[in-house]
Amino acid sequence: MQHVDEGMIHAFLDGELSPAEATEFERHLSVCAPCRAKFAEEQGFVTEAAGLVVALDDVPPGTRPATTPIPLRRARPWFVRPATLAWAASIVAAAGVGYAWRGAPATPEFAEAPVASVVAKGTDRADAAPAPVEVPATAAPAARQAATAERRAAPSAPPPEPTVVAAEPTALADASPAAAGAGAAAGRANAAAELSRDSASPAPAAAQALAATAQYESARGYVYERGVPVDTGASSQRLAFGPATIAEPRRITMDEAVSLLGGSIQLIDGLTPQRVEVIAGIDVAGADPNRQVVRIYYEEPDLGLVTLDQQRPGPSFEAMRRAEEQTPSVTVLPSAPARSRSAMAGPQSTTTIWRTDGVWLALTSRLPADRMAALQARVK
Amino acid sequence: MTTRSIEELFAEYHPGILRMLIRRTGDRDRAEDLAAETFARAFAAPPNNPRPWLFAVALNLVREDGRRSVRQGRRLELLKAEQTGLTETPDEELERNERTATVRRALEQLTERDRQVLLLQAEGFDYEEIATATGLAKGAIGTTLARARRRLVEAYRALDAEEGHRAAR
Repeated sequence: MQHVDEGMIHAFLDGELSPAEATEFERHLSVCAPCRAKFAEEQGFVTEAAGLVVALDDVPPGTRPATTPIPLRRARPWFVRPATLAWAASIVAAAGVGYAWRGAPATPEFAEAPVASVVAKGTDRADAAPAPVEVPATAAPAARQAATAERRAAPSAPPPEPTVVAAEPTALADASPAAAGAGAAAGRANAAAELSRDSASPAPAAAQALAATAQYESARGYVYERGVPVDTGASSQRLAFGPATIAEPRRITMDEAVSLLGGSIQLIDGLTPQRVEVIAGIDVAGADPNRQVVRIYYEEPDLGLVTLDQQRPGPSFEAMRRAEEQTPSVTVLPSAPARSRSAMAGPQSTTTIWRTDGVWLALTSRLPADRMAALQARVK
Repeated sequence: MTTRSIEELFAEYHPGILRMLIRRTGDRDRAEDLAAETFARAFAAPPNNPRPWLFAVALNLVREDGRRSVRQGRRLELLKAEQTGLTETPDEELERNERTATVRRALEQLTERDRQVLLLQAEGFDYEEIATATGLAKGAIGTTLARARRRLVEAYRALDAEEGHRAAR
């Protein structure tokens, strides 16, 4: 064989050579020192260039669109209207969630998720019945109002055990789906609308919390035909499922990732993480859209690019999962870890999703099934 | 397209196209407009082989858009999120922003063809698909990628060193 050229080296590194060509390529490299040196140099370019391209994704951390109305100078095509985006997102979310549940054991421990600001007292949040909330006397008025709206939305709720909810709106947004049911979802959407319409002195936090809940459920296909029914003035919420409002993945340190996950992190044994990012949950199929996901990138010559996603889903996610399991229109297959295509890592990639110790995990690579399973076994 | 609706194409390809356009333009607003325009064209003339077609149209639109300097879009103000606990220190943020800006300048030094091949490959396209999207021969993709990667890295290193010198002065 003649000396290898740059194009062939890159084709080899990109997995584009046929098995026969690859064997010949490797054989030549094993006996030709100049080509080995050339190979090492080109490999460096491949790795560094990949890192540089990814760096183009960076935007300032926490950046999100303004909540002010967005002036449009031309009509958008129907498929980029927010309602349609919510609908489109619901397909992705539903498909991902469906896959995620197929192999997932029912575990109630997500109520302890450290990222949650919800405190469950003596009750299993997974109860499907709508659970009125009891707000401490010191709680903010906004939270009280949200709690009232919650009761209004589900007047026929059976007397449940009391639950204390922290007084911040995000906690309410998160807690509400715990009482999930499609009917309750619609009720909450109405309640939020009512709240923003009726109140002489509006409680934007409460309305926003309820709107977020309605949005969450609409994205899951419960009331998607309502699209974005609640006008709370919170445009960012309305667009929450369009790509426009999704924060770019952001690079973080391993320490930040560990603290984000509540003190521990799962890694692939024997591999060196190349990059750690935090990503919005809504961007990751099957993950809790209300929580952030930590993504770890690995890259090895024999494995290619491998990503490991993980998060601690919120209590609402678990409750929603159970509620949907009881919904006849949703098929939940009890089977081995699901495999699905991932939009993240290219056309031939597969993703395996599973849970362990209250952590949601997704492994994505372009490896065949057997090597994928071997890699999954090394996650600890 | 006979078997797949525009909604399915949108759900599957919009994130990747948007990401690629942001990488290419460095401007989220513009990228979103161009992505929307890409799908509008797919709706008007449904492609048979949607993936390379959509990405090729998106990249061509960047070029046309650059020539016309037309900005028919919208203004989307970006605000810092209130929550975080994940915030970077100002130094870290500055460093990251500088790196991104340097990479962007390095990317601009590549030829249009090299940029396209590089960005398509970063979206997981194989050589066959890159060839379809760009009109290059499949046999030329490896060489083009090799050149594009090398030039990007070398341009970045040169710019980075230049800025390092400036900062040191």
